[in-house]
Order: sequence, then C-alpha cells, then structure tokens
Amino acid sequence: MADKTWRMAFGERSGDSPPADEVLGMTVADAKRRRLERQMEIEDLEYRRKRAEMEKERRAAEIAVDKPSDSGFKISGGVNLGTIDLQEERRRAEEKSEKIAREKEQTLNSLADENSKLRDSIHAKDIDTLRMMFGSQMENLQRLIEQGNNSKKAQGDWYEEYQKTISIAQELGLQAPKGEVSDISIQLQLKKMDYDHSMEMRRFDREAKHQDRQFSLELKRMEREDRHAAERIQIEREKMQGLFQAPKMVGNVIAKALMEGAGGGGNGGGAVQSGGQITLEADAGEAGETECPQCAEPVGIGPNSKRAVCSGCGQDFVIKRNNPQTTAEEVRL
Amino acid sequence: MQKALNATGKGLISEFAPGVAAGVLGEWMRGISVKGAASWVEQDVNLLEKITPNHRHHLGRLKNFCHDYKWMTLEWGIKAIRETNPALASLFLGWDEGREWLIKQLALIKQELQGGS
Repeated sequence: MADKTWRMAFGERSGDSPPADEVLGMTVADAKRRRLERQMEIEDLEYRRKRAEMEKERRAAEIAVDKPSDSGFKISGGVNLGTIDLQEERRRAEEKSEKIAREKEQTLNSLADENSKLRDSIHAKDIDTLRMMFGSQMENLQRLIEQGNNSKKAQGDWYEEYQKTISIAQELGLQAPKGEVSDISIQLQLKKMDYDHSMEMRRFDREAKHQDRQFSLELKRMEREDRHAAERIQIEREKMQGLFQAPKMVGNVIAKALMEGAGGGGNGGGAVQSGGQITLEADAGEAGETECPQCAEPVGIGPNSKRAVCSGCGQDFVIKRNNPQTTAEEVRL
Repeated sequence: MQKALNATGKGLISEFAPGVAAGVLGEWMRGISVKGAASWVEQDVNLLEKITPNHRHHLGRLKNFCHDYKWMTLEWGIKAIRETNPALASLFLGWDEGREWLIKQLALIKQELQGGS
C-alpha cells in the first residue's frame, strides 16, 4: 500500500482545495486506512508464519522420502507388496499439499479482500455520517451567521454551534491554525461579537455602579428628610410648650407683682405715718381736697373727718374744724 | 389646642382678675370729686347702681373666670382708686365713714360677683 502522508488543517485554503466534505472524508478515510494497514500487516505476518510452518512440514515430509534425481537413475525394486510407486505417492502428496496451500492462500486472499471491502464500506459509512454531521453543522452555522446580525441570542447560538463544530473537528484529529480563522467574514463576525460582548459588559457594569450610587444617594436623602422632620417636630413641640408656658409665666409675674403691691399696701396705701403731723383747718361739715406738702398728691378730706392721710406718702393730717365764721386755710374743693 | 388655649385663657384671666377688677373700679372712680363721693357716703349710695352699663358688663364677664374673691379687700380697693383718683383714696383712708362705706360697697360687689358665678 502506498505510504502517503496526508496533512491537512481545518479551514486551510489552497488554490485548488477540494470541497470541505471531501477533505474531511479523505482525512477520516486516511486514518482508518492506516489502522487497517496495520491490521493487514499483522495478518500477513501471521499468514507467512503459517506458510513457513507448512513449508517446514513439507520439507520434513520430503526428507522422509528421497527426492528422485533427474539424472535417469531409477531405483526400483520389487517388493511384492503390490505395485508401490513411491514417486507417484510423493507426487500426489506434493500435489495435495500444494493444492491445500493454494486453497489456503486463496481462502486467505478472499478473506483479506472481503475484510478490506467491509472496511471500505465501514469507512464510507463513517465518512457519510461525518459528512452529514458536518454538513448540518455548517448549515446551522450559516443560518446563525445570517441571523447573527439581528439578535444577540442568535449570535450566542452561532457561537455555541461554532464551538461544537470546533469540537467535532478536534475529535476528527484536526486542529485549527492558532489564532486565525480562514474565512474573513467569520473573523469579522467573531471580532464583532467580542466587541459587542465587551461593550455590553461595560454598559452593564456602568449601569450597576450608577444604580448603586443612586440607591445610596436616595438612602441619604431619606435619612436627611427624617432628621429634618424630627427636628421640625421638636421645634414645634418646644414652641407649643413655650406658648403654653408664656401665659403662665406672665400670670405668675403679674400675680407676684400684685401680691407684692398688696403686701406693701399696708405700708403703701398712703398709711405711712410720717413723723410729723400737719394740721389743716377746715370748716365744720366741709369736704374738700388739698395738696400734700410733702408729695404734692391731692388729699381728700371728709365733711366731718378729723384726720386725713395722704395716699401717696402717708402723711397724716389733723383737721381742725373751724366755725363757719372763722377763717381757715382754703381748702380746694 | 383651642381647648387648651381656652383653658389657659381662663387661668390667665383668673390670675389677672384682681388687676382687671382694680382697673374697673379705678375707672368707676375716675373723675368723682371728693365732695361727690362724700355725698355718696352720706347717702349710703349703692355703688353698683352708679356704675355705667359698660362697666357693669365688664364686671359681669369677670364672673366667668374668677371664683375666688378673697383678694377684694379694702386695701385692694383703696389701691385701685388711688391709681385714678388719689384724693378719693386719701378720703377713704382718713375718713372712717368713708372707709366703712367703701368696705360695704366692696362686699356688695363681691356678693354680686359670687352670686352670678
């Protein structure tokens, strides 16, 4: 069997590269063919070993019976055991052994052919299966690429299908060239998806931070309002208390003042006895009013009173009643 | 709150009652001459009949807020009169009959107030 070395990379493009499915099929077949070759080699070795054994046996049989020469000497003898033609017997035995060997070889060949045919059919079936899987996967990819621009979910599904395709290719023994995808459109799509993904993550982070900030600000505002409300309530309470206290305080002050005035009324009611007495003269039955010489407060005099008291300084006046004819100090009425 | 204010108002007026009544009495006696008061004393005039209806109305309002008239004494009356009419105050201070008349009038006023409360 020819020893061919197949080397292919998934997605590698050449000028006249066969279709992808054929490439895939050929690669898979190559792998299986190598396995079969190894197996056939083993069987071949086995066959040869058996053949060598048979040869050995045959030679052993020849050693037991001399091989006739071609120089024309014949040794014949007669044992009247009948006609024994040892050469004929040997020839027959040789023919028989050759026939057996041929049959055996034919059988082995036919079995090997059948084996190879079966393997080829298995290969073909495997190839067909993989071809179908790959074809369907590519169809999915194609479909999702077409849908990828419209929805992010489709992009996510396309990416998953792409990953599945990669995994299938890796199972087949293929490896993608590192860092690059052959199809430029797929490259662009992948780059775009990565970019969109990163932008989305940044936006999400930004929104999360903004919402956290808003939440903390709202909390602070509510706490501030609570504090202000409590302060206002406290102020109102103090106002009301002050309001209720004010009349009481005023009343207390006034009552105290009145009480002090009343307490001093004994002294301040004009009943302070001065040291000296002032004598007033008035007519009998005459009432009137005069001025206190000490404090200039008006002093009232009753019609028949014998004394008068200044309500301002408490000066005591003695009233001397005169008869109507008698002159008296004028009393202002 | 209105109830509290009313209650406070009543308490306040009851605290101010002596002062208020003193003011009323002083107003009654403002302008009364010594001679005129002397004639009232000699005729034993009822002071309540001499006061104007307006002053009587003010006195009546006092009934609603004041229930204790222990403060209505002679000294209080003389002090009240002295604010507006010192001559009259000295008249009642020095004249026995005038003093007695004033005491009687204050008792009548007190009776009037206590009778209406």
